[in-house]
Amino acid sequence: MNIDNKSILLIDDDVIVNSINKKLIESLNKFDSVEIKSNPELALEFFKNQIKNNEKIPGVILVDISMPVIDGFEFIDTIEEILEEYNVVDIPSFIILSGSKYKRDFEKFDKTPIIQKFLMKPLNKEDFNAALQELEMKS
Amino acid sequence: MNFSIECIDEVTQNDSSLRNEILQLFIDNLPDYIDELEFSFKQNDLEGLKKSAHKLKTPLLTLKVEGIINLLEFVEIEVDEYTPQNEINKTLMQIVFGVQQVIYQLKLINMVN
Repeated sequence: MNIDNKSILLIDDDVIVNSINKKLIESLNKFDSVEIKSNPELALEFFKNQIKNNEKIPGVILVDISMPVIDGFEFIDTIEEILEEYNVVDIPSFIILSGSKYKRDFEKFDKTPIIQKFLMKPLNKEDFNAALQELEMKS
Repeated sequence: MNFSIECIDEVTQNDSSLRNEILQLFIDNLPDYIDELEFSFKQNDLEGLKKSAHKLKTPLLTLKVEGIINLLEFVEIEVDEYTPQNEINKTLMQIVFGVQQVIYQLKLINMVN
């Protein structure tokens, strides 16, 4: 088992959002570890290192769409490639957290089966709990 | 300017120091987001302008500042190379004024607590 279901990774370039979301998630007492990466490249590096070193990867990845250099969808595509490259069988649950109203983002979400949920910002306890419960039922 | 700190209270519960810490994040960072928006406009960088509008929108969604969010979505989604400069400029002035009011009110809340 390469996945730590008690660990969550948040990827967002907004310092305010990260701080609030970290506190909100910690207050749910569902995760032992809430890791934040403020840019997707750092998150990719973290992810790759964990896999290379045979360390566990977070069970839930909460990722923004609009970020500099690579966006949330490109990030998830790259993670999929890494998981394939290293033959990782256990796949984390990907949740998009965005304030986007672009139709193209919802279309991309529909076409990317590895992403399990699309939540709108701001994150709230009710929606996030419901999303986690849905993920638990699926697994 | 109407806004709500309900989302922040949901997270901080009765922890006033945590509440102040989060409010301070808004107070410290929102001026930089405004600067980025204005800089993109001055540089005629349409893509940068749209990205800056989205960036500023994100924390304002937390504060539910509907009036400014609508203006930012206009810049983010509807503005294109055919939009008159004076229309963009007028919208940006409204956004900047609105955000400054929010920052001022957040400072007052932080002083009281």
